[in-house]
Amino acid sequence: MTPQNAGLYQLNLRVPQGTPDGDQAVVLTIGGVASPAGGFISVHHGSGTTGVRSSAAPSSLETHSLQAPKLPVSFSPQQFPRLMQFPRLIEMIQNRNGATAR
Amino acid sequence: MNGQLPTKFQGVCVLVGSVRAPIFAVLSNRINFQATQVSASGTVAVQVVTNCGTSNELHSDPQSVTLQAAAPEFFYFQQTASGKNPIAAVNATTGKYVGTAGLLPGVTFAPASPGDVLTLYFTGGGTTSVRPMPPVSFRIKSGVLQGPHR
Repeated sequence: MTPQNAGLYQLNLRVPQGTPDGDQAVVLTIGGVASPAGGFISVHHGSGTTGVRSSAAPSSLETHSLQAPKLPVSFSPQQFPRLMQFPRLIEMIQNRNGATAR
Repeated sequence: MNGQLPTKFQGVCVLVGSVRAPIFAVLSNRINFQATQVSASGTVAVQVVTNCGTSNELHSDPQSVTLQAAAPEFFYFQQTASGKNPIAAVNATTGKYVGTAGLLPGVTFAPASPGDVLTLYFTGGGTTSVRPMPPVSFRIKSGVLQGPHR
């Protein structure tokens, strides 16, 4: 869960080495229920800043698992405190919602 | 509102069963609200109430909604007619939004690279193993920080 934002979840993942360039589908499955198909992440070699690397094995989170037909992913919840900082994103989502109750 | 979502907003309430749901937004054709604590299966009736809390309350017909433990879906930067949607994601190292340049006007995007750590945003994850803490407030009285107060 994301602090201060009810209903907003976040997951952290590392883009696997060898992932090809292009729009890579990502599907999240929780308790056997998959997120709708169509969601993707754009990947392009050399475009990112891979300053944070880890050799740690991928972790799993109880009933939470990921299925990614084109983009195998792993994630470590709460591994990167910085990721809590996303006010701009919330603002964008709220703006798309129109008037909000906040 | 004091760190909590209202259960009545712009005169509108949403009843999930008999419980008022926390409301995020009320638009002319849509209401965004958070599901209340409900069972992980079966159905529940959902109603919209206008003039909520007044003598002129108007209730919509109840709509039966199917329940399940989770219904995950990513937030998207953009929803397209093709159904292929860029997931709302942030590069953990750079802080940049993940996507192709020009995806949204006025926002800087960069595609991810293999090895990058990303944060993806979604909803519908269901019950968490750790319950969110209720809002906590502190107050200063005579120069002394007092609290927490829930």
